[in-house]
Amino acid sequence: MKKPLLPFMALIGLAALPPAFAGTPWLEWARSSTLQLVGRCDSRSSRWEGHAIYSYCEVSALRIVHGEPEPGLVVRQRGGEVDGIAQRVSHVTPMEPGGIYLLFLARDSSGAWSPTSKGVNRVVESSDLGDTVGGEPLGEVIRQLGGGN
Amino acid sequence: MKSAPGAIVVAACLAVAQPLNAFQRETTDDPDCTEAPGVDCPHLGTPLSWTVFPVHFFVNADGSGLSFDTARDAISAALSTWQSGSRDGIVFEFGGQSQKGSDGHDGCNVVSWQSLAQGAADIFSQAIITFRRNSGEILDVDIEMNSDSQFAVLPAGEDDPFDERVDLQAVSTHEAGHLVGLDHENRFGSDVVMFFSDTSGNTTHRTLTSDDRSGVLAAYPEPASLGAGTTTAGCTGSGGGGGDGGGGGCALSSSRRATDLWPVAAVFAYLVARQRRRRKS
Repeated sequence: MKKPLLPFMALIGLAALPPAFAGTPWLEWARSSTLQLVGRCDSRSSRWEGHAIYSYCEVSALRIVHGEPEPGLVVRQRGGEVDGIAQRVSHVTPMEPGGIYLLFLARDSSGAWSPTSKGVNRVVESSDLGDTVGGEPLGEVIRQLGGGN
Repeated sequence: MKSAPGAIVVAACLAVAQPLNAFQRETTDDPDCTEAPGVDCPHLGTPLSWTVFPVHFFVNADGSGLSFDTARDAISAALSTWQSGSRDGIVFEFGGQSQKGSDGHDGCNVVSWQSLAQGAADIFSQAIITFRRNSGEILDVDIEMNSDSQFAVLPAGEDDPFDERVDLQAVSTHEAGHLVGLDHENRFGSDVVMFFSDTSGNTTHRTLTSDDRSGVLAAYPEPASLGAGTTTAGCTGSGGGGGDGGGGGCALSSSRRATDLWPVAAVFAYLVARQRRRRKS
């Protein structure tokens, strides 16, 4: 009678794993971008442009996955804060100064580089996996994106 | 001692069960985060909320592919859903037809259509929230629907992943969740209205889950004190036009159903079976 308990416990344990363990569809997320890189946001500034606030990050490219960024890469994002008024766009991940990101970028209507819909992915250091993004080793994600060299 | 295995199972069940109220509120300080199913972002600041009621909203259906009446009715239904869920803690009032786009300056809350395809072809819609950084008071929320998506009002209950049409009421209900001050809740599965991703051909997000209701009730625990409400001045004219997409919004993704409760169901089934065996013996 006690034996069924263990399989059930194992079943529960497996079922409790977060769905994120299924893996992030990096290729799908990167699909609409023309520039893919790992970069650090060195500084950020925001300003009103017409009816919306935009922020600009000066980005140091740490590793290029696809494409060729020009020197002095600046990434433009909608949202930010000006004089105590903040604006946020649902689903947009704002880049923060000092943050390192796996970026998927495309040119926007102003000609600036702008992240695609899933184009800002924070790189974090893990004690056991080294640099990770979305919980996966960064090197492995870059290999998935075809930028292993 | 005989009840020990049952206690262990119950303890395990409790350990894996997710909190009953896991809703997420937008705050003044939401650090960057990579969202995923099962992954919520941190919220460290003051929660965002409206302080003036009713919250007026305006609709500009140009580019929607729908009649104005159809768009207005679907959007009104979405907002009414949150109002009911809050037990009138937040109250909305339709302000009229607008010619405006999104404009964070004007205090007019406008739902409009524009192409968000640039660098974000998988976007249905996005909400642009303007608020006071120190207090969390919401000043303006505009909702941009992607005119490159095919919007429709689908039959209630439709769940057809091959239908590329996007249910306006379902998408509006999600964006209205941002409008009331909620952020994405990704741990309860895709039936939660505030799940970070949505699918076409599906009306599930027209209906609030208990988690969504808990969220809006937490944000607006008391019945709203009605006054003049948010501004209506100049909101029916033209102007605005929003940004240029901006890369974001509610993304199209493969359908994912809520499976989070099945371990609980497995434990329940086990306990029932065990009880039956006891009765037989």
